Amino acid sequence: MAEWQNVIRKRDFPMIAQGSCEGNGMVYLDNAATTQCSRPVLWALEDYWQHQHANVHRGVYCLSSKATAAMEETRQLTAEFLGASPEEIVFTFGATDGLNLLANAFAAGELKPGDLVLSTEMEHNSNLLPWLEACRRSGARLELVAVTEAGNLDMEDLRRKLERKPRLLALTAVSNVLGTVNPLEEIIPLAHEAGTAVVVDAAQAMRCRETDVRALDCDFLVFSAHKLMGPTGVGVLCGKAEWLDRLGPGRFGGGMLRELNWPEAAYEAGGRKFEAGTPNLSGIAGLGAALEYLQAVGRKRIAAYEKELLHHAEKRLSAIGGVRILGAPEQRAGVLSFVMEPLQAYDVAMLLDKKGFALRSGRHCADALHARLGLSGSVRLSPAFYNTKGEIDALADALKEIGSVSRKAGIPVGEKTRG
Amino acid sequence: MDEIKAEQEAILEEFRQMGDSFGCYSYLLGLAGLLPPCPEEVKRPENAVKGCQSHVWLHAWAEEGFFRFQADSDTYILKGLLYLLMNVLDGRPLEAAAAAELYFWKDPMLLGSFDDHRQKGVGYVAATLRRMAGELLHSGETFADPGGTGTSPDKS
Repeated sequence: MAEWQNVIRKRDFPMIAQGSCEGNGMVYLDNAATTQCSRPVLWALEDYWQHQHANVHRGVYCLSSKATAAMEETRQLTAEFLGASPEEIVFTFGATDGLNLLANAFAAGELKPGDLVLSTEMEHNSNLLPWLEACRRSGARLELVAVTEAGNLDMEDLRRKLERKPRLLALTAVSNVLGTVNPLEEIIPLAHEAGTAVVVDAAQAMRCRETDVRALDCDFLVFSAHKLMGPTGVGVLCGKAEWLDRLGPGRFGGGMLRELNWPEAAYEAGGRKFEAGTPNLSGIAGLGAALEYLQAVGRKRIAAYEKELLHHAEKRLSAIGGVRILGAPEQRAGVLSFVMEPLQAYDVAMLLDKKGFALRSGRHCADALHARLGLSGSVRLSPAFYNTKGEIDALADALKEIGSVSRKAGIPVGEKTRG
Repeated sequence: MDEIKAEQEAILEEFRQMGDSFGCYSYLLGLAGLLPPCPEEVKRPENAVKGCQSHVWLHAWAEEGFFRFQADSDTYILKGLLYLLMNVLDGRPLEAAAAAELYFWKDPMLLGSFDDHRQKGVGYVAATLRRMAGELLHSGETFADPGGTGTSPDKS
């Protein structure tokens, strides 16, 4: 274990270093679902509730001004983190919320009957269902870009579908099942040539990939704080200023009204009109602390180490009889999913839990992808920078043991591949 | 002690000798192979108890006042548990099956972490079986064994 990692495990993630849950051993490898909060984030949350809590934008008194300034500082920090301007940052309640907000706005004013919207077969339901519903409401049509056998986005299929000038392409930066890194640098210019706006779901990408929205030239990007060592219930929708000005609000309430001449209402310009109601203020404080923490640890260092960890996991798991890793994408980041047939993913994850490993099983809210792969579920391993190669090795040993006890029980795990 | 309780205590005793929960779950994998084969026609949607990650199919009928059922799952661990539930309930008098207090999987030494709270786990399956026994008891109907795999009750 590198010295920096030893330090952050002990200092910033005591539960990870302690490695236990209710007195039993635990190796946490479910970081694609959520990450553990770092200590600085917990301090920021405590500090917020103890010293800063007041509603923003509506108070002339000191505490409200302080709370407003703190929120705007986080907006500035988030903008710098993404390479955007503060006016392009909308605080949401998470990536799912950001996508729903956008889909509502598109359904209300942009999509028309007959329009085409594209998403992909590898999306999380959060980047499918809002668009499905938006299309149903507007009379537009949603089609999915295919995924190849290897788990890459089928670029030929994408090109063919772009010829029909879709209004929008909503896709993930990194698959939450296969770990496929989509070549956004290639995809976004192709989409723009077709006059198609691009929405990037960066929920899985923000920690393990450095993201600059200006360089990418995406029209919108969403992410959640809780996959970045931050708290749950807060996220970001980053949109190009011209788009945020053009779209109507996705929801309505206090804080987004510019003027009311009953019954006519005019809304704030830019991102502010998307922040109806009281934001998750403590969450935003936690988000700010999480982004500062990642910057302090070093985003390049995190990305490089997580890549190394995933490569190690792929090497160890692929050598185990009966373990079949899903997909072989050109570039993989963040997650690795596998099956151990004929055991169900549920069986494997339950047995792993009894060995102290926290991995997720099921379809991971990627039902379309599992249908495409002909699977009812998979087991997902998603390490973060506080995990170690030693933990991956221990997981590999546990999987070998599961294979062995299954075969003893008459369940032919790995026998076909061995034969 | 009634026979349903005695069977559950015997199961618990057996599992307590496994040493740890991984041993218990590994043992369940072995029990999965002992679950009597379930005819495909039983695996109809109306017989399914659907969970987020696993499916269980249950079909129950009465045979001369005794509770009989067939069961299957797409996961081995649940198959093992269904085998144990079969040992506890199948072939019992309808009245006893409907009133049975079923608890063996709740033992912390055994399967305390089972996802009973989701109402789709083994607790939900057990409650469904009890309900089926109650319905059969009150309907007074005797259903044919659909798969032809049933044998005469050997428990009373």
